[in-house]
Amino acid sequence: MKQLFFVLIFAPLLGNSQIKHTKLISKMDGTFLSVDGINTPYWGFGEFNPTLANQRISLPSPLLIYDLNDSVYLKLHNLSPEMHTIHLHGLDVTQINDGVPSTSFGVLFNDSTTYKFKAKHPGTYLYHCHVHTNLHAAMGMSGMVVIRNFPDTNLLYANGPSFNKEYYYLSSDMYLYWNFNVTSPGPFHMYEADYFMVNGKAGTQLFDDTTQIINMSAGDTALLHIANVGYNSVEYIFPPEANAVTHMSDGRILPSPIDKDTLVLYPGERYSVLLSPTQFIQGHITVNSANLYNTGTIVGTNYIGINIDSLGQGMQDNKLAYLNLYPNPTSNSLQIQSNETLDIHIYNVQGKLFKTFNLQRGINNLDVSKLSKGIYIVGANGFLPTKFIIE
Amino acid sequence: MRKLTILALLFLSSISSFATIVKDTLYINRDTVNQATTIIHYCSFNSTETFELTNRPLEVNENDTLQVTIINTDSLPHTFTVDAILETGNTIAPFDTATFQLKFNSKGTYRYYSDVAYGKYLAASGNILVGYSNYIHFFWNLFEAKDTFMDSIANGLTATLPNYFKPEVFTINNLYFPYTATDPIGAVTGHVNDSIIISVVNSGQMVSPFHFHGYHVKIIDVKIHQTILGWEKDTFPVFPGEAMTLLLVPDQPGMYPVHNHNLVTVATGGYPGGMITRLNIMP
Repeated sequence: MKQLFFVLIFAPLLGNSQIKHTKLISKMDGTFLSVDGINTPYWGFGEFNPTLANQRISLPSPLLIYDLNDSVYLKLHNLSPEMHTIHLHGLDVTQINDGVPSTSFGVLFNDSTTYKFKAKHPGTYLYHCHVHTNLHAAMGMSGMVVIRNFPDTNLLYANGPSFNKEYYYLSSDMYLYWNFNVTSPGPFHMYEADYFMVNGKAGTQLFDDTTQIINMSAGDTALLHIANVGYNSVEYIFPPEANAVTHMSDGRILPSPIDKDTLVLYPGERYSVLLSPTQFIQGHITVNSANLYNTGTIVGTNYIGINIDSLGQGMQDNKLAYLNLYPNPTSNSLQIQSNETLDIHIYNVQGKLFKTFNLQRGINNLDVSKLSKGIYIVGANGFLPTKFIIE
Repeated sequence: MRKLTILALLFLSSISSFATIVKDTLYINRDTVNQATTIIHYCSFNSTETFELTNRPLEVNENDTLQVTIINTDSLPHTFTVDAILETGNTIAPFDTATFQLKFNSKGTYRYYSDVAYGKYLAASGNILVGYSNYIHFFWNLFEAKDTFMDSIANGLTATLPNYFKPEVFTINNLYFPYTATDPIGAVTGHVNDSIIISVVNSGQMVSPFHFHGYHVKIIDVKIHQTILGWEKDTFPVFPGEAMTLLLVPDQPGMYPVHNHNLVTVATGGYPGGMITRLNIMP
C-alpha cells in the first residue's frame, strides 16, 4: 500500500466538520514495471509535492481519505498536454463538480481547478478522469476515496459494527496494447483486458508484497474497502474461516448484511466487508477477473494473502506454505506431493488461467509439456501461490 | 334493505375495478437501420405496421388484466413471451393475429419478447410496467447489436449466439447517445423531490453495470439478481433478461449522465456514445 496514502494538507476544525484541502496533479508520462518486467506507460494522478521539481503520479492514484461531514476542496493541477477532470464516482456531487466535460468543465494543460463536495455518507468511493473515460481510466487515471464515520472512526457507520483494522483493495485492468499504442488504440469497443491488478500490482507482485497482506490476530475485525474500476467484473473469494460479511455497498448500508464467501463487483461498484475470523488461517483471498461478454470467462486471477495468528499475534511476515514442486525448472512434467485431494490452478504471471489439475493424495505427475517457455504460478487453497519455470 | 343494496353496489363496483381489462395492440415489424454507419437488422414491437426502432412499452395498473393483440407482419412465426407469466400457447403465425390475456400479481417491471432467434436476437423485446402509471416514469431497454451476427440471424444462416459474442453497437431503447438524450421515454426529466420511476429491461446478452451520476437510486423490484432488492446504489449490474424498477428521488438539481460502466459500451458513434443517457433534474 505504499502507493496509497492519506492526502491531507490543511484541516482546520469547524465544529463537527472540517475543511479538508487536497491537491493532486495529473500527468501522462508514468511508467510502471509490469509483472513480466516490462516498463509500461500509464497515466494517472499524484499527490502534489511542493519540494519536487518533477511531480510524480502513482498506480493506482493516491488513496483519498476524508471524514463524515468534511467539506472537501480537491484541487487538480493538470501537468499533461491533454484535458483531464476528476469524477467523484458515487459521491453525488453537484453538477459543476461532477467532472464530466460536457455538463461541467475540463481542466486544460497547466491549468488548475478545485472540486468541492461535502462528505455526506461514510463508505467506499472512486475517482477517475472522465475525459474520454474509456481510454483515460484504462490508462490508469483512477483511485479510491474513503469516507470514515467521524467521530467514531472505528465504526462502519453510526451505531454500526466496529472494526480495529482497515485495508483497501482497488481492482483494475488494462489492455496493454493501448498502453503501448495510445495514439492509435483502434476501435474502443475492442478493448480486451489482458492485465489484472489489485492496488496496481499483479500476480507475484501482489502476493510477494507483505504490505498487501491482511495480518490479523484472532478476535480482530478487519474492514476491507473493495472497489472495482476495471472493465471486467471481479469476484472476491474469501476463505470460509475469515467469516466475511458484507455490510455496505456504494456508500450505503445494506438492508441486511450478506454472509457469503463470494462477492462479485461489477465495474464501478464498491463494497465494505468485515472479516472476523475465529480461528487460524493461512490462505488467501482469490480475486478472479471475468469479461462481461456472454461467456463471462475468467481471464485473470490474483491473490491477496491473509494470515490470522491464533496465538493472538498478527504475523508480520508471510508464513503460508508453498507447494512442493519438482523438478523446477522443468520442460515436460511436474511432480507435486500432496497430503490431500486438492484442485490446483496454473496461471501465467499475468494471472491468466491455463489449466486446472485435481491432485490425489501422494505423488502426482502433471503433464505440462504443452506450456510454452516462461514463468508460471500454481495456486491452491491453503497454499501460497508457487512459481515454476518451463525451460 | 337500502344498506344491503349500497353494499352490493360497492361490492360489484370493487369487483368491476378489480377486473379491469386493458386492451392494447402491437405489431411485429422487421427492417434494417443505419446505426452509427452500421446497417443492422431489427425486429420490433410497434404501435402500427410502420417499423419503429424502439419497442413500445406497455403499461397497466396493478391487478388489471392486460389483453394484448399481436399482429405479426413478418413471414415467420413469433411468440409473445413474458417470463413466468406467458410462456406457452403464445405463438403468432406469419401474417396472423393473436390475442393474449396477462395477469400480473405484483407491481414492477416485466419483459416481453419474441422467443425465437430472429426475434430476441434482433431486439424484439420491450418493457411492461405494472402499477406505476401515476408516477413520473421512464423506460430503458438495453441492447447490444452486431451487424454480421444479426445479418446471419435475419437471413436464417444461424439461430444460435456465438460463444464469445462481441457486439459493436450499444443502445438504450435501440438508440445510442446523443440520441438517447432526447428520447421522450428514456431521457429522465423531473424536479427535486419527485418520485421518479425508471423501468429497466436488459434485452441484450451482456451484463450491463449501470452508473448514476449525481444520485443513488433504490432498487424496488428486480426479477433475476434479487440479492440487490431494496438496495440503494449508484452502480449496479443489469443481467441479461433482467427486468427491474428503480426509484429515483433527486435531492439536488442538475444535468447528469447515466451510463454503462463497462466502458466498451460508451463509444458507439464516437465517444461519448452508446449506452449513455441523461438525467435533467430541475429545482
